[in-house]
Amino acid sequence: MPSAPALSFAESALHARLDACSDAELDALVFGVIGFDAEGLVCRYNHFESQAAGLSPARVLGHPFFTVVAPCMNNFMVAQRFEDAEDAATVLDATLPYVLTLRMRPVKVQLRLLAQPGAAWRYVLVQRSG
Amino acid sequence: MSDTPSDGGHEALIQFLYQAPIGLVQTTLAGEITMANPMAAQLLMPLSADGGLDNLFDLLAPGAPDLRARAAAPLARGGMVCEALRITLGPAADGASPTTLSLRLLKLDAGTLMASLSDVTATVRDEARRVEARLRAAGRIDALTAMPNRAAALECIERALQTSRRNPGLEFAVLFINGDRFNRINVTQGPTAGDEVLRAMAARVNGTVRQRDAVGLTVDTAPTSAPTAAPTAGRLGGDEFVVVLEDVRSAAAAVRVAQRLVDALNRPYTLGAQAVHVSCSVGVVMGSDATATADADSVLQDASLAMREAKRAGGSRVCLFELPMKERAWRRGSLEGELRQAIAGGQLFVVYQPIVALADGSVAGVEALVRWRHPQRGTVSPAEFIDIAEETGLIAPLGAFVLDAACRQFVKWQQTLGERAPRLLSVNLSRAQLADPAFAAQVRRALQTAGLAPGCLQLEITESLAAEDPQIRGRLLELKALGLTLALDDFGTGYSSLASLHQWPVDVIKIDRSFVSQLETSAHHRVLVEATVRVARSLGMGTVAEGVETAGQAAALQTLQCDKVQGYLYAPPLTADDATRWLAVVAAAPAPPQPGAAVPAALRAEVAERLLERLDRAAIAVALFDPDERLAYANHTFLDLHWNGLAGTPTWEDIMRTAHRRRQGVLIETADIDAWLAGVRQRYRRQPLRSFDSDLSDGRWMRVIEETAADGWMFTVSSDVTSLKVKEVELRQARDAALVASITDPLTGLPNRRHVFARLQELLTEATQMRMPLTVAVIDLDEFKAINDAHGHGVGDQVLMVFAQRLSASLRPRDMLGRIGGEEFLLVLANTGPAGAARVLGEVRAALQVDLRLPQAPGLTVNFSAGVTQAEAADSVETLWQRADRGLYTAKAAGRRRDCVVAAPGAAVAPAPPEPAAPA
Repeated sequence: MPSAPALSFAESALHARLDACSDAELDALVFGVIGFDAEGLVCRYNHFESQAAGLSPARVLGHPFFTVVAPCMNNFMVAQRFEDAEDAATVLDATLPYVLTLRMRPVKVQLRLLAQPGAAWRYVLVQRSG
Repeated sequence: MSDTPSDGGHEALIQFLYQAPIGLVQTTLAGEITMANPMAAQLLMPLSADGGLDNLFDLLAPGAPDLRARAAAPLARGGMVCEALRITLGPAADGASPTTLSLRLLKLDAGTLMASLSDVTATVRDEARRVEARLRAAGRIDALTAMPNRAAALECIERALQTSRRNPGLEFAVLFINGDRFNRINVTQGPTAGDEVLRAMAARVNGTVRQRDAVGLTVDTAPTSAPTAAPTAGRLGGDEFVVVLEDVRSAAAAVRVAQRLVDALNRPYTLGAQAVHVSCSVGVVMGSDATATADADSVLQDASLAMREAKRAGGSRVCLFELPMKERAWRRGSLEGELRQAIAGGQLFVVYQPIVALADGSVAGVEALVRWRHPQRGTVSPAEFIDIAEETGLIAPLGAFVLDAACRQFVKWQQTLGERAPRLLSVNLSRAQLADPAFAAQVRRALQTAGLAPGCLQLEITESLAAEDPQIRGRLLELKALGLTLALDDFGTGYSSLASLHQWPVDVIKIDRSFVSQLETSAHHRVLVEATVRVARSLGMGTVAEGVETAGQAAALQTLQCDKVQGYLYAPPLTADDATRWLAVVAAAPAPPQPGAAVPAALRAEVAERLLERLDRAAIAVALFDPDERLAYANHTFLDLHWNGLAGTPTWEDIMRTAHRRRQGVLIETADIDAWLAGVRQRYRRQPLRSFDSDLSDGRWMRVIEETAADGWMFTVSSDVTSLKVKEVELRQARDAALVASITDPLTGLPNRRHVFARLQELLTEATQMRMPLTVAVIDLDEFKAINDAHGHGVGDQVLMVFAQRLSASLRPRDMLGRIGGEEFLLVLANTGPAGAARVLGEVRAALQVDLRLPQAPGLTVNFSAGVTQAEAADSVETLWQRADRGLYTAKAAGRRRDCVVAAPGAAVAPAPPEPAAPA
């Protein structure tokens, strides 16, 4: 397994570097990574996120992210921002405090939203505190 | 927490809650959040300062600070802390309306609270909108008449303005309607009655504009117009109404609608048992007159200006807005400000026009008139500013100034001129002064301050004022009680008639200058003046003629026995100083010579001889009888008239007998002549000085003046007034003709509207008293407008004439037919029920089968619709006519060419044979 310098949640120019990561490299990260395509279908789902959310990649990959996998983000704070960035053809790189309610349990997290015109994937990164 | 489907039911439930579109939160009793679904997180996250969702109470504290306490308080059974609690949470960051959450909080068990949250921001906004819309609607409807109010009318005008700016071809009109002196009704009948009339007016406006305008107008037919039907008629407030005609063809069309409004509103209103009349003035402004920057307010203002012009022209009419009106209004506006300054700044002054007694030429009094010395424009005529003063209320201080100044001046004359001072001060009153309950007290104060005896003051009121209002009468009596006299000014200019003169507590009638100026040229005016003087005398009132400018007018007035005169012939209105000089000169003039005084005793014989020579040849007949009635002297003319072969020296009695025989023919019993002569002698004793007209047997008329002196000598002078008599006869005939004309419709020769209604009143009273049936029919020519349009108004007039002829020809002698306007006729059938009326109308219809035989429109036939109703005991002319009119509309609506009988409400039998029912 080739060793590469581990990426951090706050890393700059993260979008391109995540694109370049193999699935194995993503699984090595210590924060959650969910990548989805222009249709909103989940394409990348790393091990950390799978563990934290208690969902197997098989239940997630290929499913619509905002409507099926994470309805808790299907709102103006998250989903809307991806749509706005898409409409305006601008780069989205925003970090915000958030409360996940996966399985009804409120969990305070930091979300990082990444999107870029012309890129194949968009990312939601989840950093769980503590 | 695994994705293994170990517990399918639980998992499904979690999924259900997870996806629920309302926020679900589970907390501890302290509010610590233990569970939340995505919707709850979405709703609450924006409220969190640090992005966390730790404590529900903390999160909601800004909108519901007492939530924690509520949850801790003892709860009712069921554990409900709150249900549908609305929590409004600050304005959203993007400036949208604040978020409102609805919270239901339930205590599930000793340690758990269950909250459900939903976002009701949209609901709240919708509710607010609905409330606002309701309030707006309430704010747009006039509560009294349920018409659109001023705000709504202005919106409608604004809409019309916008539409016409987008489509320059599209014309609209705004009609501003105002009752003429409507306040009279509030004052005399009370405000409730006033409201009732206003409601009736509103109904007529609505009826006139909406039902009848299909012909001249197309309201709201443009496909682009908003689907909300524009209100076309509204009430602006008080007795002001507005009609907005959208898409009107021309100014003429708008004026026609306005005239129809005037006509409709002029019809009497029934208030309980009595009829009330309110005329209206309408101002019309066309949308194309509006400037590019005009708004609804300014358009309405222009319409109001035109309405004011209509009022100024006498009211009860239509006036179309023209640009110069604005200029005039502006001028009036600026004049108002200047007038205010003038009153305060002493620019007003009083002038005095002498009033002269016709009998001896002495100064009977002065009339005080106000003038304005404008610093820039010189002397401004009262015609220019009195109206403005009336409109703005400035008339009160102005009137007070004139009264005070005139009283002071008058007293000064009394003090300086003594016997030569004028005897009476006449001051004009305004409407505002008479309306002021404190006015009598003000006059008393003015008299006391000046030290003027009330008997020296005369106040002048105009006819229009006097005719207006019963309260005015009370005010006039208060003034009379002060001891002053009242004069009715401008008499003859319109309002009151001779017949109603006795109703006014006035002492003097002032005959308007418009009559005086035509005295010498118009026999008609001369007769009117004569009648006025006679009626005034019979009522113990004096007369003053205004505007006397020629000696001829003065002579005529003297003949007509008018008491006093004023005018430029004597003196124009003079400043106080000029008047002082004038009074001094006139009053100091030598008295007219006493008879014979100028003749020295030595010459008297010679003068007497010369006089006799003149008398001998004079064209007038002169004679002198001695105390024994023997003829002592007669000139040639007298002898020519009376001698006629009388032998010897005839006595007065011989001459009288001869004349009487000639007049009456020869076969007169002597006894009759004796009795007649005795009567004449008796009359002469009662009347030493007498004047009478005497007809000669040959058709000539002599005007005789005789005097029997105390010593028994009788002097008689007579002149031939045959031509004057002929003129009088002609005049009487002209007067009769005028009387006929005033009650006849000139086109058809039928009784006109006024006359036919007056007759109907008589017939109705008679029918009610005699318990005889009386039926009226309102008849309207069908499709008359089409005839006018197709053949022109000339043919239209002929159609009306022939129609009237055929209608008259089919009637029985006792029936009455009149034209009440346009193509509308009123038929009154005395002693006839509806069945008889139907027969009559059937005959008329049969007569109309034959074409009208008009050369210009061969083959033209007409038909008519009629509304028929029988009078009931409770009917007034108004109710009767209204009911028949309703029938007419029903007949028209049912397809014309028919009658519709409308039964009186409460009539025992409703005789309605095959007529169509009234539409709902």
